[in-house]
Amino acid sequence: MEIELEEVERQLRGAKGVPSADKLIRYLRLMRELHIRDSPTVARYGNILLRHYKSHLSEEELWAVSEQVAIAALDSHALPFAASVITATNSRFPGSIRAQRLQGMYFEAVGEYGKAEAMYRDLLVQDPANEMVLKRLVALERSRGNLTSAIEALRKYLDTFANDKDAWEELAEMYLEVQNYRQAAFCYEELLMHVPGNSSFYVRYADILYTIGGPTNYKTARSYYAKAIELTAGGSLRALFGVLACSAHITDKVALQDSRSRAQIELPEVTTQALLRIYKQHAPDKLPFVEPILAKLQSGLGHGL
Amino acid sequence: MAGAHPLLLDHAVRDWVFIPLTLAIVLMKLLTQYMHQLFNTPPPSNKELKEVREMQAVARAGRLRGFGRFIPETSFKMRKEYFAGEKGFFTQKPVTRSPQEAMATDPTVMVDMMKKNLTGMVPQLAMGMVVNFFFQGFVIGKVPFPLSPRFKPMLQRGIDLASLDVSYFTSLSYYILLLFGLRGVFSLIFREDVVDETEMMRRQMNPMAAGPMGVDMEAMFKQEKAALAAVDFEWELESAEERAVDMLRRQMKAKKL
Repeated sequence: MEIELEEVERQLRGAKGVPSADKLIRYLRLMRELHIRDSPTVARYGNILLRHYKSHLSEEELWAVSEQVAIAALDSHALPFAASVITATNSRFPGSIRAQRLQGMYFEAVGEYGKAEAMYRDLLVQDPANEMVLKRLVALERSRGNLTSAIEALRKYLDTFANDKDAWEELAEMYLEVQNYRQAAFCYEELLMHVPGNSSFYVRYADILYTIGGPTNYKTARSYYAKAIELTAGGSLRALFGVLACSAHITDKVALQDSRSRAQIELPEVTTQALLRIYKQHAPDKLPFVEPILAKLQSGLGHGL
Repeated sequence: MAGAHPLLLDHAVRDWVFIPLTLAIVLMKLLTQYMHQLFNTPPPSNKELKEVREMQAVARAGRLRGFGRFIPETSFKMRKEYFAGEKGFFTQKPVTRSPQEAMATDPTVMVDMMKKNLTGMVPQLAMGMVVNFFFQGFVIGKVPFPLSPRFKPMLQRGIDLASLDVSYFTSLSYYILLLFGLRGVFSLIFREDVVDETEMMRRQMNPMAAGPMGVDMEAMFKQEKAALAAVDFEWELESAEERAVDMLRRQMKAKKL
């Protein structure tokens, strides 16, 4: 699908004059399905589509496009345009929570946070379990710059909707912003249990554990970096460096008892080899900088890392 | 000698039965359709926040059981304690009412059902009885194509004439035919969901149907608690370093790195 999207984008950019309707429709549809948020482009093409080719769209698609374009317009601060689309949507679907939340987003965009909050709380009276509106409350606090209240609001949301993966990711990011690493680690544990195949979760989780520090955490972090190495077949440089950094901090000697301990002893060396190879192949000019660092990590110096 | 001569039906039959019957059925369906739209308030979002919370908690516990081996042991134990511990989440009494309770205590459910019945099925049944009473015992039309004799009981309710051609049908059969046939036509005209009483009837007749009014949360809590207690934790990453070494060695051997 991504390839298709690139193709359509290229066609649209190359088109002289007003691009054709079906290309625009296809572009917007692909953006919707892939959840990509390239707002200025979407707003521009959406504007053309809605102004000239409204009749080409089926009833259903028209309003899906309107929602998509309205959000893109708000992102791009094209406020009058956004207002017109939102007004149209609201008159078509009076009383709809989904439409009114667009209205709330408009208030957020123009900075009228009080009105936005009032609107959202109103909608929650109608439907107290509406995920969309609850999440907008979190976004609202973010817009206002109250990270702590945003965190609180998101925690409350996750207390009820404990399986919303994106929400856990967002909460983890927010905790990292306020440097609450333990809670961020908790969130990442949830994410690991959601998508155990996602290597970046392993790397991030290891990053957090490494940052918190302490002997157990260094060991655990190294395991998670190692897992990421396995999942990416050595492709994640961060994981490779991470293994070395953790190993450098692990000072107690491991006795060669079984295959596990042998691997623990061998891992730093193998990792160094792999890293050197990668640099030689992809960035040979950086090799002179990397070699001394690797040597230092290998020899297990703890300070300055 | 079945159907050698085509029967000639009286004009009067056509004028006073066929056309009025058709009109009446169409009108009635239209009426029920609009009445349903009028009366159909969106189902009260009986997803109360607390009920959602409990459902989601059960799902999360399931995730914990399924993928808990990817997180460190201490973290797993902490969550297990949270759910299945002495004062854990699943030891409390759930707020979600079981279906029987819900039916008994919530009056809106009954009213809803009554409304659906009244506007949907009653006029149809009434009309069916009227048709049966007034337009009984004669044939009102002929299907333009020949049919196998197995359609006889379906198309000729009330007439026990063995020699009558199967293509002729009585008013009652015609009524039922139109009833089901118009649904398709209506779904074309009104692009939204047409009133689907048969689905409702099907649902009512199916004894195993899980109602939209929730599951037995207390039983699920007990189940999850027991299942969690039974989990034997084994950390997936116990062998992580080994596998990483193997992977790196393999990649380097294959010149991929």
